[in-house]
Amino acid sequence: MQLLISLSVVVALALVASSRSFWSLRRTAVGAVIFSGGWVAVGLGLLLSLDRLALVRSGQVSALEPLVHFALGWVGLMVGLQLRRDLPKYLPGALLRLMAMDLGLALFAGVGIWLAAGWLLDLPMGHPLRWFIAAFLGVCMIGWAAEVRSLRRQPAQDADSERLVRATSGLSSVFALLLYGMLFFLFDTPAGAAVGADAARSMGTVIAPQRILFGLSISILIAAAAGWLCHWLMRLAGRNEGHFLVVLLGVVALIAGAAEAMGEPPLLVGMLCGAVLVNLPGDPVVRLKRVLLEAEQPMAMAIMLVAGLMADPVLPGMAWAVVGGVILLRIAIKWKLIGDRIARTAPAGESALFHLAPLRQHPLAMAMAVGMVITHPIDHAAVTGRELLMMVIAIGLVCDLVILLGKWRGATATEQDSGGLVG
Amino acid sequence: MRIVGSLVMVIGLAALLRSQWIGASGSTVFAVGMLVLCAWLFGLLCEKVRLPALTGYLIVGAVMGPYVFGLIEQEQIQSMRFASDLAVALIGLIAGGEIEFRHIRGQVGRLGGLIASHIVILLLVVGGGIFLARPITPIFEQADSATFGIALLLLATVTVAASPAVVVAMITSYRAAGPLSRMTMLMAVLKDLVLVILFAVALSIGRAVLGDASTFHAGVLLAIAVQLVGSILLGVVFGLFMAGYAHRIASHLVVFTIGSCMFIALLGEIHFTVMSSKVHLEPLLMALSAGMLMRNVWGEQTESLFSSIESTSTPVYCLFFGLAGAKFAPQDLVRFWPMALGLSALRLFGLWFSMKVGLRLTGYREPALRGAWIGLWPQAGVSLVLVMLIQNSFTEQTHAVIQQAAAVLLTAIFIDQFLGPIGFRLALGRSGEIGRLGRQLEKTNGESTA
Repeated sequence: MQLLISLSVVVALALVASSRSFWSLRRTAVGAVIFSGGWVAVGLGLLLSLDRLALVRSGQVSALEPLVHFALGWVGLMVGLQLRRDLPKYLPGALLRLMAMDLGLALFAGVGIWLAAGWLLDLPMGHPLRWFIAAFLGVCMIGWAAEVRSLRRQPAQDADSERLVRATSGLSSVFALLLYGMLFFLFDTPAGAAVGADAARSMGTVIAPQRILFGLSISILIAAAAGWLCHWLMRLAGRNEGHFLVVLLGVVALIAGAAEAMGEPPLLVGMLCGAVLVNLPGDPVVRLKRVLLEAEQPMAMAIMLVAGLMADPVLPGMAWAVVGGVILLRIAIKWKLIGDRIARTAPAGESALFHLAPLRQHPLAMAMAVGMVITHPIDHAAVTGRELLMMVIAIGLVCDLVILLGKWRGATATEQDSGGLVG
Repeated sequence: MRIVGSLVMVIGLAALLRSQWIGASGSTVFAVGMLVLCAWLFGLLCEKVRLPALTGYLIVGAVMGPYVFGLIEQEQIQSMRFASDLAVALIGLIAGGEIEFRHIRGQVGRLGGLIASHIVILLLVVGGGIFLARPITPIFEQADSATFGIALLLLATVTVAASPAVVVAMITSYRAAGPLSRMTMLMAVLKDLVLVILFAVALSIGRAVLGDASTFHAGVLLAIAVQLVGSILLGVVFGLFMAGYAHRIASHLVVFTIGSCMFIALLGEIHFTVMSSKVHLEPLLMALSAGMLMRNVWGEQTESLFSSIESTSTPVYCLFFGLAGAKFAPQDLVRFWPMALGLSALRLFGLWFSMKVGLRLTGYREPALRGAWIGLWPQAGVSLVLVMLIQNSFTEQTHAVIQQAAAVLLTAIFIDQFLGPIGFRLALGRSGEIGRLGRQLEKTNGESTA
């Protein structure tokens, strides 16, 4: 009960936070962290899940799983709607280069995490879980949050770097989801894993490359069928808002439910379905985008709350060490290497602030981690799925705090510079 | 043709996924998707042959439910219960929004008189009919007088219930407006308020007479009063909040509406004890009060909110009535159909007779109101809950007669649930009120444009 009430409260907060009245507040750095970053929801979730308070039991959290699957399907659909057939024509070279650089660096980070995970979590070299942790945290490293206006001193001023940050963020989410889906298929749940404690401990740690092709084909098949069906039904619904909503909700539930039941990631199936839909002729896609975007903030907040509820806040010391290592890698890669590239095109006086933009973790990382905990549970002595989720939360939070600090220092430095010039 | 094609495609896709990969126990989310899409499409098909869409939703639910094809499992229905509660809250908001005080100003006494006379006469007709039919009713053959009396009381009381959900759904989906729509809505809603009290008293008497004498005391009435007043007050608070949001923030209204209904449904889950009686807040009543407050106090400011509620209503109806249909067990119909059909016919006669007498006694002269009794024919959510309460209050071992009577009642409710909307659609069509709201809005828009 407390859980569902909290969910309602969070959705209500999300609504208020996404309203026009709060728009200006969300444009401040602190406001962006609290509202756009969703840390209020994550914090509430963590608070509710504390054993000492005994407010929410794990059984109650699992009652939310259908809603979470639905929300993940919805998010996936939103990501997929970017994938228009003619998109490559409009992608500037700078964006593609930045994207390639980010992917390459994420791969490099994955190797670093693989080394650190083996050493700190005491996993042997060939252990599938070691590979899984490295690959998963590496995928979470891809991209950054699109929100950048809160970092700027003059948000009204048009800036190429802002567009670059946003567009790369959008495109990177597609790559991140594709790789995330591959991870699902590559690291299979062994048959009969639920039987016996030993088997359960190794859940999610069997490498099964033969599944990639099969899993991906099934995902594409479901997505294509659902996308085509959705398009057909949307045309049947016509201009009627109620009928349109039936189609949207029904199809999202259908793909999310099918993905859930078949052990496919709802995020990936949703994205592929979105990609199919956006490339079919007709105008319903515009309406679809509008409705999906309207629910974006509440949906994100609900996922953040669930992330807080599912995470295990008591991380072992070695896991914190991995978190620290990933944060350092992130700062080195995103702030120094990628930030440098973005800052080159930044308006005068905002170069330091644009350095910070790619440091913020992509919100999709949290959704991917929640999806991993629900559909691909890991219960190993070295690390559990819930602990991995907490690691993602911790990385995102610390990065946001670093950004706040960086912005404050950057602003102070700029003021001093301009003071000197004037003086 | 396109609708049939779409229906075949949805069923085909769902069947393919289920047979090849998903399996019988499946996923609840998948079942929701399947139910909503199939119900919507079959509803469209029903509309093509001039049947209410709602009948289509119910039929799809029954066919897909655990007792026919088993595409939706019993556990899945249980886990979707929250969706039903949410739907009840949404229906309550719509119903509240339809009740405008300016329409009933000056006729509160007459309306009260009509409802009172209707309830009393209906109780007498149904109660008398059951009493007379006792010798030919198999389930009452072995019953002693006390058990028969209590069964009669409970059966007659539940037949008073109408279905505000069906009435609201029909009126909104047909965009009907006029005296018949208004009166049916008022009757269905207000009658259920009286019914809550009547049923609690009848059930307490039943428990007291048939064994558990300690359950009937003054505390029961106090608990009912707390439940009613508490629900109304909380609904008022909620109405203030919703109106404030619609006025000040006014963004994401669809999501806000669903979130609000979710919250109202959740409040209904909270139980507390008053004078050793278990009490919970009534979501329908809360939503009704909130809707009434918004419509009558901040009508202009909340107009956009009500429009968004209407646009949200179709998926909610598909799910709610689909789930209601899924509870239908044809084997009960096979077993009890003569008695259930008899009870349903008796109730129908009672509705017609009580409204005819009631309208005459209270001086309502509008010809359109003659069809109001058909609007009260459908039974759904409230009645089903009341039957469930009867089943839970008397065990099968000790009170087999009451249990069987409840099964007959349940079957009669399903008959009314399927046939009632068809009757109401005919009545609305005959009164000429179908589509009148749309025409009125067009006229108003035209005038304002001019």
